[in-house]
Amino acid sequence: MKDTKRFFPIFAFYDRTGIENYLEEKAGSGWMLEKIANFGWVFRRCEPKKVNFAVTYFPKASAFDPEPTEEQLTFNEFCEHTGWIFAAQNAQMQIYYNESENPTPIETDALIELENIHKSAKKSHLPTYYIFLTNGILHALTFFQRWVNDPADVLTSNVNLFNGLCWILILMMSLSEIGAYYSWRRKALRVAKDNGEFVRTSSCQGFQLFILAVMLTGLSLMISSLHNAALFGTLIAMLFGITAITILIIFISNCLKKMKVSKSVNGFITFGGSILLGIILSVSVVYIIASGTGSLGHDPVSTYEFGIFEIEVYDDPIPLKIEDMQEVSYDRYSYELWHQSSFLAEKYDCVQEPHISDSDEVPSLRYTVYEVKFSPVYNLMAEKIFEDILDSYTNDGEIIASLIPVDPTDFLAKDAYRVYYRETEPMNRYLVFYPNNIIILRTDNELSSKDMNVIGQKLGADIK
Amino acid sequence: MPREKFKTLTEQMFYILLCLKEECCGMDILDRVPEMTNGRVNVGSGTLYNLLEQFLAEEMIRETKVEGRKRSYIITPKGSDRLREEYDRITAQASDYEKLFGGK
Repeated sequence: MKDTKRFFPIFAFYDRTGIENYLEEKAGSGWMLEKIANFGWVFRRCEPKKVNFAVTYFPKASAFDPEPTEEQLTFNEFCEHTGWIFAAQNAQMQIYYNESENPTPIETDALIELENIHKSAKKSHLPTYYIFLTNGILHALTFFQRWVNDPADVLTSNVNLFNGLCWILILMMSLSEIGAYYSWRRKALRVAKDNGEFVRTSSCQGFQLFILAVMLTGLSLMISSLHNAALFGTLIAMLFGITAITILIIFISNCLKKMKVSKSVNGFITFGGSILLGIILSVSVVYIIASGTGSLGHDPVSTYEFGIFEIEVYDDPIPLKIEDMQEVSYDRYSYELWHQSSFLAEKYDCVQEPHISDSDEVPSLRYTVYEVKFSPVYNLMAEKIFEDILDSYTNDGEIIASLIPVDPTDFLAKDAYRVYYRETEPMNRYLVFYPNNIIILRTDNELSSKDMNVIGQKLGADIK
Repeated sequence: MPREKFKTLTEQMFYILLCLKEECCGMDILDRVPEMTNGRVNVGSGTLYNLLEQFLAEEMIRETKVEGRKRSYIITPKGSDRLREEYDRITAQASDYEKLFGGK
């Protein structure tokens, strides 16, 4: 039977009474706190006993102290004199236990205790939450801006959705932690001034667990839906890199502590190292993607020179080809497909282009198919795509194109529109709506009814 | 901040300063306060540690001796004045009470 166990309790940093109750319950069930490690709280098996725990805050302590300072040792001696034995510490938070029945508490002045909690909070926890909050606001705003500009792109990408979800959750979590702390502190100060009592603390454990569960669900959903092996590999490499950096930083910090390096040097190296390794990881990911090793797309089958440019030729399995609609004897086409998907919708960007030198004689084809899997987002996507097409034809801010309804039956669709330049000149660009699919199509040739029929058959329903 | 805090002394502050009429260390204070008050007032070790620091910062007490981690203190004239003011405040309160309700 194991004599030590590791637990991962979730407590707000100032939840003094919550932590005390938790530790007293654990001791009552035969598990005594041994230490607070980087990965969980370590408990040692003991005889079940009634023990009093006291959590107190020592603002001068630091997570980077190589060993307890003289001041901390003096503090410990004061506590020992009244029967309180040091159990563990986590940066400024110090935990003591006392086996006497009714010991004098370590803190007998609520105002002084609140002052110490606040000094400790300002030293470590609050700055961390403010950093999360600032990042959360910036990323949530960026996500919101992307959502407003191109909701179809956001909705068709699990990576985009997960990224947005994570930052919104981080924003909510940091806001709730900061808000809960200041709300408790305001009440605690009032009560301490009025009658000298310490107001019980609490943690938003349920909310934090909910956020963690949502993030893990989102992450597993995102990973499981990735069809692109390179993207999958890049994502796993990133997750692995973040984990490795975290472990490395903790390892370095612990080594520096063992080497008795001062807290300021340890803190500088740890923070500096975290930032440096974070930058190295980001640059590596960008390099991997840019170099093509972890390409988020697909590989060309060949390339050719055109002037100073190197043109890539693809042979991706696009769902509709010009050959499906007309006889073609040309064999230098490039078929390119970009696919992204989420649990809400999928997006297929397809291009069929001839060799550049033949582009005047040989027709090309471009289309985007949005396949909606979650019907409530259909109208939102449809409206935005409609607006975006019109916005793409502007002159000095004036929209110079119109989308004029055409007979959808040839397309086998429920609605179809054709782009007209200034309402008079028809262009070979269409927007077609199917029950689940939305298609934007651009051709070089005028489409016949038969062509439209083929388009409907190929792109109107499930196109996998 | 601390000046405002010590405008009125709490019971714990009062008895800590009272103990320091004579030179003593922190642990002596932890024992003496309950003795002086028949257990009515207890000072927590954490509270005492913080108050000693604050009294030192306010020059209401001074350090007299350092033996290892054991530090001894004694009240300063400034601390004595504050203690006297507190005494006057408390006796004024007692006197006002007695005027209305009589003594024991």
